[in-house]
Amino acid sequence: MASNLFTYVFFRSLQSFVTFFGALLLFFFIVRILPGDPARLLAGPEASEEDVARIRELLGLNKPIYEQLFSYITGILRGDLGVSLKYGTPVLHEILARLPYTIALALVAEAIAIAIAVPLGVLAALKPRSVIAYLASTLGILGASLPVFWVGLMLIFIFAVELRVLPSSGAESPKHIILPALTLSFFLMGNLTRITRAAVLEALSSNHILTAIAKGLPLNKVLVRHVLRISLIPILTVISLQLGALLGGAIITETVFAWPGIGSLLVDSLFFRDYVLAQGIIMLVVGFFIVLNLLTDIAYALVDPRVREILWRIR
Amino acid sequence: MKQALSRSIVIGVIVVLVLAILSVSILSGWFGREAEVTPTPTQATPIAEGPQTPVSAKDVLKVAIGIDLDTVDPHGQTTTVVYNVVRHVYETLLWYDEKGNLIPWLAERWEVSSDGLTYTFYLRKEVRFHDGTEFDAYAVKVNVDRWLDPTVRVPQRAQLGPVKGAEVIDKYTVKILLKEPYAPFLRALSSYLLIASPKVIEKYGNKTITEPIGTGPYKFVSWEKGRRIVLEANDDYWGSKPLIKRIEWIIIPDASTRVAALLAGDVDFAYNLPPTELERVRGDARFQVLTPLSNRVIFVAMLPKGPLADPKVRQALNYAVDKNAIIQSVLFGLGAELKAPLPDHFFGFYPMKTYSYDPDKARKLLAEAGYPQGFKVVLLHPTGRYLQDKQVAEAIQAYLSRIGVQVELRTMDWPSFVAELTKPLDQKTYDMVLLGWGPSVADAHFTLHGQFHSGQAPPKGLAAAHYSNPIVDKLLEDAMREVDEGKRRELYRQAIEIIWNDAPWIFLYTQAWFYASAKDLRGLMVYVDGEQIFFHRAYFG
Repeated sequence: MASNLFTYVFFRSLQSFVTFFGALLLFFFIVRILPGDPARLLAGPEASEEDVARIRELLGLNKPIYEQLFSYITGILRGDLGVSLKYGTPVLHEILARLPYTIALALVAEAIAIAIAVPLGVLAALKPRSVIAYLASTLGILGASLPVFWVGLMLIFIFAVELRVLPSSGAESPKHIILPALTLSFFLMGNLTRITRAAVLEALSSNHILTAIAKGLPLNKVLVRHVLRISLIPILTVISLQLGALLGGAIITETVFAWPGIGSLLVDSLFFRDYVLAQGIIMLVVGFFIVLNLLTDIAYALVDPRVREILWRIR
Repeated sequence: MKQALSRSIVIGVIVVLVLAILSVSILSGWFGREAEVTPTPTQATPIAEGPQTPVSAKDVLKVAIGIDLDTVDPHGQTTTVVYNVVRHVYETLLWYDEKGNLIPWLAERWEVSSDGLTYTFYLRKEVRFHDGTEFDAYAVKVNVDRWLDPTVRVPQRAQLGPVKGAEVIDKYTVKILLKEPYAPFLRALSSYLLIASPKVIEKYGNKTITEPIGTGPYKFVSWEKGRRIVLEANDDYWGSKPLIKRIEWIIIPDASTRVAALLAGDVDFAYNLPPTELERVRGDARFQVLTPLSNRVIFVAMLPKGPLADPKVRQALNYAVDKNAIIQSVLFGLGAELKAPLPDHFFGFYPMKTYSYDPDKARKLLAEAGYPQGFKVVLLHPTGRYLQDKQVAEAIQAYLSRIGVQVELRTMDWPSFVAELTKPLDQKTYDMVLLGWGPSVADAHFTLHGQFHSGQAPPKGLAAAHYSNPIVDKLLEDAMREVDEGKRRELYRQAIEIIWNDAPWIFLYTQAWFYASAKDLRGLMVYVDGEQIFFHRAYFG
């Protein structure tokens, strides 16, 4: 069993590495296909062509593209993500300075979403025609349809401008995280409630649950030991995907709330055609996704004996 | 099940409607406070007021800016807002007074040789950098040397002029030598050459300087990327001591959030607010509104091809667009109609008779030029770069359609836009382009030479109209070298007349900015470029 798990993890990791490398190549070329010259953007429209040419040379942008790719890859293998074209400082340094903000925002938003959406989804599944069920589906619709910048601005206007109980933007104190986290969690909640409800409904209709109830087990016990346990798989999947997306930076939320995470950094770097910085951030996000997927798959195997067996067999 | 779904959709729709109504009412101020209507002064000139040595009621000033710094390297600057921040730390040899005249600053006086090649500066004594190093002729020389060093990333190098080098004469006298006469040199020097401590320059060499050490009224404390820049008062400052102890420049990228931060009292001053919020902030007695005119002219450059190669057609297009209506209704008043191809406050400005809105005359001119039915053109424009740029392009499209000119709009983000702009004429896929041009230096040279000298046509420069006229070229070159101010003005007057009648642009407007501050914040200085605000003498009173 232990060696089974080990080989599984090994092959899954190998697969992840190939995916990562493919993404790296793809993105390296995509950012360079975008029209726009970083040297010109850096120098400003009023700069002379000689100065722009000199900057292009200093940045190494005049080298052939395969040379740029080669030095980028060898750099990555050495753990060096390169130097930002815009800031002139190491990319890793820039990302690490912003990353804690993004992680904090992602975790708080996800925690709020889980705390509200999962109970709501379960209740909605248990009492399909109740007020709670309608509330849950309304939340789902709103979360999916209201634009995030609008919700963010409304929260700012209500809580910062009118009521004056929370700060409007920035990241000065723990209080500052409340509004952006609420905004984000609102969008996570919709999806999470829906998935939870569906998963619990499905579990409730399965035969072994019926058996458990028929056997006369107390309902709470059936719910916790059997229903929730099966429903956990889709819920965990959604949570891990949501976290992955959030760690890529909630771009709009970060911009609206002037939250100094990597989402706003990515937008900045793309507007500036700072290839190196943009690549660094994207590779980090891709890395997160791949690792999270890997961990989710492993978690499946641990949580669900059926999955475990299937995996062992197909290998 | 189905019924439940449709019911929840109905509920959802109702909730959305309620939220929408709520948001509209909040935005229009029904919710909570009544908007108080008190006229606030708007001015383009500095707000010089208050007693000589006021005491500030608050020690910390919070300022909202829209973009993060890219660098604190004194010689790596490109962006006005960033210049604005670091200019509280670094200073220049000369500076500008409120009217835009040059005044002594780190240099007490200066002399220019009769051939216009040698500038001698007599420096202020007993000035120290924030690291304790003394400011002297050597410090100036190291800064000039670094500016000229080709291995240093200096984007604006050419803007300073044809500088050969600097020579130390004695401890407090330094000469800067030019390769050829360059009339705007002193203004360029005052705008570009920020002086950093020689110790820092020795330490960093040609690497990007990340420790800003200057002689200015504020010392650099920290730069938390994406969050804020903190400066603190320099109590050993050589000039009048700053009154506010600490300035925090807070980065808030979204303009609506900057408004919200100001309204919530989270910041005391906010840069570059959306024009749509002008009335709301103006109507709120807690704030004062500033709408200074900038150095930036906004225009539509027409390429010399197809029907647009004919000056008559270009004049017709000028008559067809109602600039004042655009300024009032699209820009909410944040602009001033161009009377020349440069802002009124520039050195060398000469007012011309404007192309007043006259569609009949425009149609007549088009018919004379052989296009009574009009023609089709493509107008390239950026979005989110200038105030209401997309809306202005749409207004122009509407006006031109009235004289039979069908405009197809091509919208691009800034980097793609610039890539298109820098292509040579025969590779361009548009006929005209909406562009802004805002040099740091308020001197005719930078606008006229940059936009109308044939040598500046893309891909070499960014003279967007590919305008080519040997007489204008000659006038602009002569004016660049002419040291006598009177003669220089005359050369620019002649160039302006030719350009205005040739009409390579649809001349639009000089863009104004919309800034706002808490009412009790006094002593703000609006820089001559109308974009930078200085807090050297600001205080809460």
